[in-house]
Amino acid sequence: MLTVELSKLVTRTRTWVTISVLAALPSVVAVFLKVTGVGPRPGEGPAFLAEVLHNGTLYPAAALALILPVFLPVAVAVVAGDAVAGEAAAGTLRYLIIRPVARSRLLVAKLVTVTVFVLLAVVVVALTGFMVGAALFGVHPVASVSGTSLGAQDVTFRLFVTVAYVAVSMLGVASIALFASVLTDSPLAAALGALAALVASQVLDLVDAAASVRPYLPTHYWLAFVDLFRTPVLWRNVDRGFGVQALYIAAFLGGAWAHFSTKDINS
Amino acid sequence: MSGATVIRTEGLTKRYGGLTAVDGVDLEVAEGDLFGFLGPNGSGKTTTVRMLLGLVFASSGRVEVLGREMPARSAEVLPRVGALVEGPGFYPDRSGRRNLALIDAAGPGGPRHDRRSRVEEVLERVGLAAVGRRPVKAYSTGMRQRLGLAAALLRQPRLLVLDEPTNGLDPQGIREVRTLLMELAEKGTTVFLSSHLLAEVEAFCQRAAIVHRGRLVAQDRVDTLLAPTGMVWVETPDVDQAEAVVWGLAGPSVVEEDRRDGLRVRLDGMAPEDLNARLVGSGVRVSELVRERLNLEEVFLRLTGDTTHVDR
Repeated sequence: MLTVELSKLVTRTRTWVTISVLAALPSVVAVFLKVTGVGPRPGEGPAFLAEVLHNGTLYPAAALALILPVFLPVAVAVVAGDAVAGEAAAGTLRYLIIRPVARSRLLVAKLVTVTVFVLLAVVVVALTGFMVGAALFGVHPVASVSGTSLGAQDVTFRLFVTVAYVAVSMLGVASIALFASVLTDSPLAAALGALAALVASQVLDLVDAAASVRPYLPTHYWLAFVDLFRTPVLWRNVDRGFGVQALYIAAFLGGAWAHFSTKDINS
Repeated sequence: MSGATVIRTEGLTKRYGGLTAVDGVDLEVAEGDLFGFLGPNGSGKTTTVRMLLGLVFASSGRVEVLGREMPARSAEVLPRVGALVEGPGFYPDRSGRRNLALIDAAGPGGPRHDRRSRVEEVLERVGLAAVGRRPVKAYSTGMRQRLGLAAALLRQPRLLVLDEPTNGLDPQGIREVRTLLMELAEKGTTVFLSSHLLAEVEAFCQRAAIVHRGRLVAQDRVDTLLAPTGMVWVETPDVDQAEAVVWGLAGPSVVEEDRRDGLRVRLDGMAPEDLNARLVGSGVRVSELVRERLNLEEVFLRLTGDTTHVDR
């Protein structure tokens, strides 16, 4: 089942179109920055953009910061929302269940496939970001956000943790979308449901009156990976981000499993 | 036809909130049967089929398929079951071959080494061997139906559960499917055919169950269900004379006499050949004497008082 799911993922045009578009946006931004030389002033605008004008080394992090708030979660929600509901809508879910594929196994295969998609997307964007950054802005020793300089090995490590952090944040999104996907037979409804949850979270994050729930919102710590480029690394928010995502992943996957394993398949 | 029971349900019931979709259904299907499951749309056929296959969980009652409890033992049962439930389901952007290979690879009991030859074989059987590489979305309804049948046949199942299998097929296709099912049944495959088409069940099946509003109203051999009604139709130019003869007999009585070309007679124990001899012996010229049989539509009407949702 897992092999079948993975082969469906990699042979599907949608997968590669989505990833190309995700990688294209930061590249376009890089070209604009290079041509105009107009960057946001330090401390303003999207993270790292001010810094990368003179040094492409951190462009992978800048690229991820660009697609993280909207673009990437939309892509992940669409793919994960489609996972089960898409099969239901195509009429293939019932044939998989009576093939038979055990329901828990089907869900695990879908989850692994979505995880592979998330990793693929994040890694491709990071690599494209690195190549575009290096080509347009050159690779120079990096000064951290805090002002001290960082070694090449140190930067690589921090970029790796960044990729992992963004991937885990997106797995939180994927879990919510997967849960929605077992609830409904419409892939569109599942994807939009997950996005609605994220928008709600981002709105609450801006409301001071809702400050008490802020640390538990799924989107609250998304951009905390910026702290990875301080000296010394400010782990507090990154750790909390990992923790919050772990909670969301556990809760929503658990819910998806509980519902799906007792659900009447009427699609 | 060793007589082993392939499907057995006891008091099978499914409730959705306040609605009882399937109500205490007891089915028994023997090995090698071509079994028809007949009922109008919305009578609980599909829900029953889904419960047999472990897609829908029963509210109460038991299901046993191939001698094992469902859905608890579906991992052992389902690899030997092929099914077509409420129309075929395929990935529209991929070819028929690719779809069959994907569904075969998704579960157990479909070895990889002979997958290609098995796919070709079932495509051949359903008449899709020359279909080429076009995606399923470019198929006609009939072709999709054939592909669905092919998927059901892929691992040489012992039990075929088919829901409206001739849907979208032309008369030629229906004949082909019928021949195919007969062949399979001859080799010992049990076929459970659910349909709202009386003609389909009448043409394909030896045994049938009739379901109406979630309840089983009859379960018997099709020829028993369609048994002679104890009436004969006598066609004769000498209607008045024939009537007089029948009234003179002990037992038989004329049921319908207002037609000029013949009479309907209730035999009441008399053999039709004896009636014929008496009529002819009395000088009545008989052009035709036919034992009346019900068709399934009339059986259905008699059992349920309702044919509004059944199509001939």
